Amino acid sequence: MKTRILLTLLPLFLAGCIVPYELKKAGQTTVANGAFTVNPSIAWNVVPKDASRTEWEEVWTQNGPMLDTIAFVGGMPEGKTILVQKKKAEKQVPLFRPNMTPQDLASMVEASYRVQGVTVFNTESIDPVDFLGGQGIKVRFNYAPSNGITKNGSCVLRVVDKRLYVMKLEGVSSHYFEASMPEFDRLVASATLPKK
Amino acid sequence: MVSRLTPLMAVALLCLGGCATSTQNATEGFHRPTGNYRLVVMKPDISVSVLTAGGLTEPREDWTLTARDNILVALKAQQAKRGGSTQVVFASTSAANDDPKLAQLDRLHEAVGQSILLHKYVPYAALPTKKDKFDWTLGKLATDYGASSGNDYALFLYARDSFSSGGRVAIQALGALGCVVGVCVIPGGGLQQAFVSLVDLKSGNVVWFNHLVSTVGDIRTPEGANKMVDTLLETMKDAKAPKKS
Amino acid sequence: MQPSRRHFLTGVGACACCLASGAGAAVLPTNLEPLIDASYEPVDADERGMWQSCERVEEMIRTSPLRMDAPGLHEYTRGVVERLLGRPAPSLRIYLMRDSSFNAAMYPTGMMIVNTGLMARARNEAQYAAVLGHESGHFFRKHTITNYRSVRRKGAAMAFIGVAAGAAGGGWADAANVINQALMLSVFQFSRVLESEADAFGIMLMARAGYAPNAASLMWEQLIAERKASAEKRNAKYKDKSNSTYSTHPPTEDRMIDLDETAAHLARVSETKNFEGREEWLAATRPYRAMLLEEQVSLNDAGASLYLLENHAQDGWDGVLRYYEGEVFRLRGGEGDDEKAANSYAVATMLPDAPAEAWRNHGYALIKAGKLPEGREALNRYLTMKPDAKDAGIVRFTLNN
Repeated sequence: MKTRILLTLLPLFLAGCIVPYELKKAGQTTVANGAFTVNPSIAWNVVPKDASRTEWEEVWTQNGPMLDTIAFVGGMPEGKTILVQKKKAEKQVPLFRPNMTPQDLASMVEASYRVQGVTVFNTESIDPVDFLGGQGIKVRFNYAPSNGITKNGSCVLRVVDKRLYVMKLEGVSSHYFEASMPEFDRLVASATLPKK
Repeated sequence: MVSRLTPLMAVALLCLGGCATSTQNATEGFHRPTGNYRLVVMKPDISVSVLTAGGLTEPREDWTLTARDNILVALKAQQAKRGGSTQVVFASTSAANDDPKLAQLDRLHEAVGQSILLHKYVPYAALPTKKDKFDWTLGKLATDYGASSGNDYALFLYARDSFSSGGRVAIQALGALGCVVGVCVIPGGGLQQAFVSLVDLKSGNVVWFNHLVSTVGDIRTPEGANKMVDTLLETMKDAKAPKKS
Repeated sequence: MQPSRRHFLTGVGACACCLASGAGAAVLPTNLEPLIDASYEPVDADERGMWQSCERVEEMIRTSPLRMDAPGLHEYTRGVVERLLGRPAPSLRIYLMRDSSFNAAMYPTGMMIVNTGLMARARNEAQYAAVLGHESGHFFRKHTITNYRSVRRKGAAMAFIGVAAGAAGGGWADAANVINQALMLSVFQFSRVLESEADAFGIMLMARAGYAPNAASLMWEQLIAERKASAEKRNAKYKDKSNSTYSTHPPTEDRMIDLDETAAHLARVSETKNFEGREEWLAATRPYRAMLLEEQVSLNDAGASLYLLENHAQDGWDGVLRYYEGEVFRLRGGEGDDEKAANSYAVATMLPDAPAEAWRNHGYALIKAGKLPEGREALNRYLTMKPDAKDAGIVRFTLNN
């Protein structure tokens, strides 16, 4: 998997326009093209964009994307999907709709893993959570990709003005998920929409 | 002129800007183990393949077994030189010996080891927050194992011809069964690639990591195995030495 | 024209009941004797190397989180395989793996892998046996090493590229790729011959063991129908991927015809029993039925999911099936799907075996449709049935707000 990423980046590197990982210092900052702000208490690395990522998403990592990531989705409109996918793909991530129930939102997150070949996916809990100054939902889950390195996830979602906002922590079940949990919770608590 | 590089040889990208044959990383304040200590060599993942005329890497069981033996002998001799006893934990080949915790630790290390390789040895994938730091850990899984086994350090060793995890590719491609029958063509150049990581089982941290790329050397022979182990471990420096990133 | 399985059936050697026919009719494949038995050990260097790789794979599979812990189903599967082989096979290892794709695999070291995706689609023991028998064919006819050696021979053509490139470790990429494509084509064609052979071997085992020999072609028929249903719902064209030159399996339509004809012939000329084993199959898979359906439905391939559910409903729709029918529509979320989902959940809750989740989703659907009191009632019913539900937190919150 990694080699494929490297291979994708190689021609860009050779052409001199590779996007390296960038430093995100601690302190108030905007994410997802300015869709909202968060206040990290430690420095993070911004992961360069890849083909499956939509224009509304930004991803950070502490130790490398294989070990942990925090993803931010901001202002995604109706009818779009949280993953880039072909319209006629056999397996589909559901399109986002503003009237989605908590169950629908959780299924959408789950589908984003299933369509990528994950068969073992377990939802651990779905609870209310404060997010961006209002009521959102928090989905806790774990999954086993085919390489056998199980991961845990915590995903916070909220629909504001018919647009989707998401923050998701994902990390290797052994150590890495728990290690980033406190900072993730802080980031969620600090998340603020821009003043109109 | 940059040479074109084959897929699946992530490490070969090292040679883009001038190839370092052996580059090590260590945590701050690292001192190589001396005196009496117990070191366990975890599930040595060693494979020696023949590169066929057509560019296929064909794993050779006899060569792999020989190489594995040679490397372990060389490792034991290495560690004996600096004191401490070396105990070897093997990959299990029968269901009775399966230890799920060990398997978990091995898988975790694979993820960590590959991350280290990517973010410390491939220039454009460097993590800015780790610019002058080397701090990856295996956490509680490793410290628990240390406590229950009584070992102080664990050495993970990967040595193979092409840096693809052939077994894992086979699992992911169950549908095609292609890779096992050799339909996955994995071009190799006769490179010897190895990495080794030393984990302090009291802290769970990866305290030392080295990666080797070499076009010479034959780990099927005792001399070749010694040379590979020497290059990897003998050069294990204390933390005061400059760290490469 | 791809070599058909019939070629093997009319192949070399004496056969007890050949029919002379211009087109090459089907016969009992008595000439397909095993090249090895279950206790085989490799001798050649290349084969031993490949075995070692397989052993590494098996180690990982043994401790994989994807491996199913299902002793009952494991024993049942072993029983089917041993019935096919006609004798116990203690050295054979069987691993049931959680993987939603239809497949099973037999590694040359005597390790068999069966996917949950296969279990979700087989309708009876005979269909299950058909696939396992086919995989046994690969094993007993040493296909893996045969194919591997062929690939290696063909690979020799690439040697000149390495020399021209000069430097160790590099220089293959461009020119090698072009040659690779050409080689890959013939490599896959060779493999298709082997797949036909495995089909023949499989059907021989089926007939000997007393299984309905037409189960194999039915299995393929269902797969094609599922893919067609999937394509139709997406307004896409159905493409038999096996027809692509990169396929390692013979074209499924051709395969079906071959298997069909052989089965029909076997039924005419021999005393084969026709054991289908639907009851046995249902009993063995009952504890896993919800999990198997969930794995498929959650992929959100609506056409395939509905086809699957309709198959499972051949003895009647129950609460579990109606619930999953609702899930199909809910996930698809197209025009009118909310109503369809709501309807399915409503029907599910009227059936005695409705899962608690049917009540929950029924509740959400009612709320979505503006029927708040009824929706709240359904959600409360869910919490009564499952007070420690994983999403109890959000359901309670929904009820209170």
